[in-house]
Amino acid sequence: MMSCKEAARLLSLKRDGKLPWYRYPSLWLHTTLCSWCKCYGDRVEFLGRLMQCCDDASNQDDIKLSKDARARIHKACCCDENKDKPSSDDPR
Amino acid sequence: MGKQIKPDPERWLAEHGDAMFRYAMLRLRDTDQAEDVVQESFLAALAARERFSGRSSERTWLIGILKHKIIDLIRKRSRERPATELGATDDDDSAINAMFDERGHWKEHFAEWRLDPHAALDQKEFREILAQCLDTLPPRQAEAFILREMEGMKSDEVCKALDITPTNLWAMLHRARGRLQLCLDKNWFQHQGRSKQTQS
Repeated sequence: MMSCKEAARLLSLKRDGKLPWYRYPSLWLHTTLCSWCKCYGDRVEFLGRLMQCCDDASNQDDIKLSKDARARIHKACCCDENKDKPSSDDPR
Repeated sequence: MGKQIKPDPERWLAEHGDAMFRYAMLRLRDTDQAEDVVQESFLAALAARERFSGRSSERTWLIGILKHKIIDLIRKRSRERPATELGATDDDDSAINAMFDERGHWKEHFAEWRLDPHAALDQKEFREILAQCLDTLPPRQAEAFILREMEGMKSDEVCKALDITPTNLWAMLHRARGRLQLCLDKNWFQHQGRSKQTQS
């Protein structure tokens, strides 16, 4: 039977969809018999799902653009916008 | 016909600025870079406003632009990182090796995490610990993990962005997962277990 160290590596590959088909039976057998590897596999899956939910959760955080950054962005956008507008002195 | 939007940077900033900043912070974990990338995205949006078809919401369109800017920045950051910073920490298997004995069996037996990711992320303390744990990862490992798991990019896209081989990427992701689960277990789940025991 493969070692737990090898099983952990394969569980990560499985999460990435890169586990070769011929390794599935031995990994399945290992995680059926080894509760800690089964648990590690669950943790790997948990981490993946966790990262996918991060955007929704971050809306609860009080992370905001600073006043300085806001002013800087506003200035940059307005300057950029005015670049396209012909001025009253424009000979065109 | 597509809906023509009135470019209004002031309204964009008011309505989407903070959300875009949070999105960037989550991925870049650097205030200055997150602010810069949000600014670049607004400028790019202004330049490309003619191409906005109105099929998606304005927020989705702006976040789409931001996403590309973030990937460009990560790619640039990855290429500009000094070679001395790349080797040891990215290839360091010590955290993974420390979990196993010489026969490759787990040294310590661990408990199941009985928590839903949504429920976990609803707790501010958990979000803070997750951010701290992500910060403990070597930069390239963190970038690979974020691009793969948070952005949902395909392996070959991540390899291209970080200029690494698939074998390298899978090793990095394996190390990142190993380190992250150790960090979260130590700093959150074990404490939760202890506090539940104390309560009961």
